[in-house]
Amino acid sequence: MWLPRFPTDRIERRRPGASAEPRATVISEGNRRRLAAVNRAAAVLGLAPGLGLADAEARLPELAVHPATPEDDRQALIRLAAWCGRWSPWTAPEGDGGLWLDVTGAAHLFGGEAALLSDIAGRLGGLGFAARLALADTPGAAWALARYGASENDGPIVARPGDPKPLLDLPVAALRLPEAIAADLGRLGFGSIGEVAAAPRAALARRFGPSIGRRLDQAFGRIDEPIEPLAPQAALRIRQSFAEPISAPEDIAAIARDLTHALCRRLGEEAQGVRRLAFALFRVDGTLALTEIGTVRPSRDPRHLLRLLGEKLEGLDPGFGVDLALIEARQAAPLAASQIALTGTGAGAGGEAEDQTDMAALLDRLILRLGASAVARYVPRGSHIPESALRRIGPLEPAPADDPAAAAWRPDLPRPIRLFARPEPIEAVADLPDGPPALFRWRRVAHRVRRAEGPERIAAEWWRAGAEDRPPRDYYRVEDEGGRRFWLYRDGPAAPDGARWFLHGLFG
Amino acid sequence: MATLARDGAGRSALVEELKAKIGKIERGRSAEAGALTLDGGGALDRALPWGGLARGALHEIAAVEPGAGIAFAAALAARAAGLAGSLVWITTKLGEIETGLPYPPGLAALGLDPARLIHVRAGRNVDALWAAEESLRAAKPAAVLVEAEAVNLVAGRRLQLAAEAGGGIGLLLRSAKRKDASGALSRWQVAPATAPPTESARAGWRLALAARGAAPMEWPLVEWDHATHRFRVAAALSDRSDRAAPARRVG
Repeated sequence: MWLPRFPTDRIERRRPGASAEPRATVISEGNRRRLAAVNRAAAVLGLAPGLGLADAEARLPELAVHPATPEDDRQALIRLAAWCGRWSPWTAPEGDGGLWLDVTGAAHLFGGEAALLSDIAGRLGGLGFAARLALADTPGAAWALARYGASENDGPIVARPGDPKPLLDLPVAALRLPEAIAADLGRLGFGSIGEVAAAPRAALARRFGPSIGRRLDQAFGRIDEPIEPLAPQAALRIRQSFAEPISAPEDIAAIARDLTHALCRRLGEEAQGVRRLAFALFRVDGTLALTEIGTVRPSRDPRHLLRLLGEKLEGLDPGFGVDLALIEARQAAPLAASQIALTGTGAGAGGEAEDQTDMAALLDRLILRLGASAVARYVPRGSHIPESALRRIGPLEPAPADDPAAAAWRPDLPRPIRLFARPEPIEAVADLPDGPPALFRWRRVAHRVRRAEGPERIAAEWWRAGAEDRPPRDYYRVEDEGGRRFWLYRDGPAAPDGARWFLHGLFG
Repeated sequence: MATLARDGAGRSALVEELKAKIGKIERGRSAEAGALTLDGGGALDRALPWGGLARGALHEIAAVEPGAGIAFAAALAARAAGLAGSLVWITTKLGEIETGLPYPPGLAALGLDPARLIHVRAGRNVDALWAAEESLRAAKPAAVLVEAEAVNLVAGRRLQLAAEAGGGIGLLLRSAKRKDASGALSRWQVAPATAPPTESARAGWRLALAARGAAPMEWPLVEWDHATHRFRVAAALSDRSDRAAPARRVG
């Protein structure tokens, strides 16, 4: 679909009744200022994008002029594309004023393709956006027809499947070619796509490169055109529209409950559980409020999912009202009925599976509030370097099998119970150049060492990158006069002046 | 006054409520079978009114020195988790700056299986308390160890109620400098042992215990037995500490 006057429409949406006066946005190019977009009133009076501002004002002194805001327009287009998710999960912004919607399999929800398109046009029009819509077999054909196709009253165009004829009469510019190539083709006498398509392919490729052939193939569906959709594709989605917009928190909570239960039923039918779930509210003003929750293991327990969702619902602002709500399973995984614990059986009903499920429910709540990186467990890793001897993984993630040396923890080695992420530099005095420290100062407190064990030499692993730059460390376990025990190391050779000392961890 | 203004029905409801509370306290006292034994019925268990560390309750570890407090808390948690339970350990940003991150290789040496440890980095103090309450209430972790500093009576009460609901052991670890009451059932003040440990590899602490409903006690050296994963009041001193009169100073 094409929104030919997106920038001026955006301006006029904020000013009721402003569409009657001619209006344009202006960009500067060096010293020259020219029109970037014009509204319908200005277009009717003969103004067009590209015209110099001085010319335009000479012709139409009453023209209202606004600076162009291409970045804001782009962001607004992305938001609008997200809102178009009400018709299809697959949407993407295109260029300066275009939107892609893949409505394959979605039209029947709206009573057919023509009804779908008129619904889109009607709603966009209601928001103040002029739109030209075209539905065709390929993105290329839809693009061409939306911009260059003829229709009554600028109404939506629905191309019949498998019929390339409407495309053939369109001008060459509808092929989405670079401007220079399109202009050259025009000079060579090509007036329409049909003429270009009939010309010898090899000759065109020699002169203009492969782009013409590619665009033709894309338009006629001979090759696929990959377009990245805005949102990840959902495994399952359920929508609920309202005749009257809703905005009360209890109404929204009720609809979240209904949709979650409906989704869980569908998941049950397919023996699936959800890992990531999105809940979206489509506001009447063409914006979208969306929230997403994740689970550490597949779930289709509506109580659990609603509890997670409930935390997020307050943050969803219904604005002036919501006329459509949507729930989708963005990521799902197989979940057999036997894996689900019986709910409501109370304590003592035990069993490994139930333990795991309840634990997963707790982890989900912790992750929802604190973030996925905040909740983890540790597995050993085959490295002698203390800070590399372990790996943080997701709480229910299986241990990675890529590191066979990481067989187990080594409780036989003297290791602290706390490790500083960065070893903290300390000042230390040793009786002997290569001996343990007798006195050290950490965080401005002096500690006199009563006992010391060591050194344990830990060298950088030569097979890892940058190992030669790192000197070996001599670790000591020391106890000060107060009984406090620390893990210290000396970095590098025990030079009389060059020894650097660090505190790396605490013992109990 | 509100109590005087109560009508008869209100008063009898109040009496029933108090009866229920007393019953609960008495049940809690008699539920010694469920308590977690610390030293196999030794001096520590006998010093606790529950015959061990009460489950479904909050206990405070007041660290005179961070390392000693953390190690004692980890040892308690290792006992509470036992062979099958899991442990949720909650740290805050401030705590991580002060004392670093839990280091599983060292915890493994204490007998705490890192595979059953879930580490939650809560960031703020309030988030840590929230995470602790959720985890205790969820009833799945056998023990929840939370490092927090500002814990007032209300927050402590919430944790205690969550532990009662879930049945797990809540361990609140904070600095002994904190004097505000947390409402925990027992408070263990932990300092590094100044007496030399009987064996160099063992962890040992000086402990002062103040448990609700029991006389305060002090032990100059309590060690952790790495083989049996139990505490042990150091032999040479245990006779004296068994008879130990109420400590001069607690808290």
